[in-house]
Amino acid sequence: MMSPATVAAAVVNAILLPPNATVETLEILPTAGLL
Amino acid sequence: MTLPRSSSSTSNSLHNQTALVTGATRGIGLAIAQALAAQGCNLVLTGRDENALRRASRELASAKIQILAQPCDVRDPQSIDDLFRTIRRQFKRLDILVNNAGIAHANLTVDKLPLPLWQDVIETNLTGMFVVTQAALAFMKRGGTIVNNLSGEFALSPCCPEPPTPLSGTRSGHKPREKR
Repeated sequence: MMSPATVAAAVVNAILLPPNATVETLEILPTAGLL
Repeated sequence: MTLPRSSSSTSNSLHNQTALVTGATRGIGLAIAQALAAQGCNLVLTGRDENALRRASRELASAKIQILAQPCDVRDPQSIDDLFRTIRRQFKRLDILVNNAGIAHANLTVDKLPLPLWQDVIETNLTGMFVVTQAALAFMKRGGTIVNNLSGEFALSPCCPEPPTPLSGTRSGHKPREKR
């Protein structure tokens, strides 16, 4: 299971991008265990 | 989508910025609040559970940032009005909104899902996000960032001959508004 800290790190990295960059969708899935 | 190579490449620190995180008392909301605090971002933490809010606020107190922890139920427009009145008084600005408040129900098929439960999820996860965003935009005339966090588990329709296949993931969108 993914930790909340992993999701938070991805979100804050996106927030820290320069203002001329937009992340429309960030889809975070576990590396293994899905179809 | 391009992400910085590492979280240490933080030329755009969030020092002196203010972020509102809904559903900040635990899980992903609390983790995002912690990550923002580590960047020097002032925080407005909201949630329905006052004790959990106090606990989260205490946890983050060592970060040397301003923290406002205010109970807020995103299903209640009056509660949201009160929240933004307090933000205006205490911070006068809002740079980042993290729409994280959300609820989930037991993994029930459509034929077994009670309507009130469905309505509660829609009011919290959809309408709540809309109303908070609408209120926040009034504070973001000069620019800002909005993150909508949608986490979920999905199952195939019960009419499918295969057993339901759980999928889980988190989708977040980040929309910066150009600073002028």
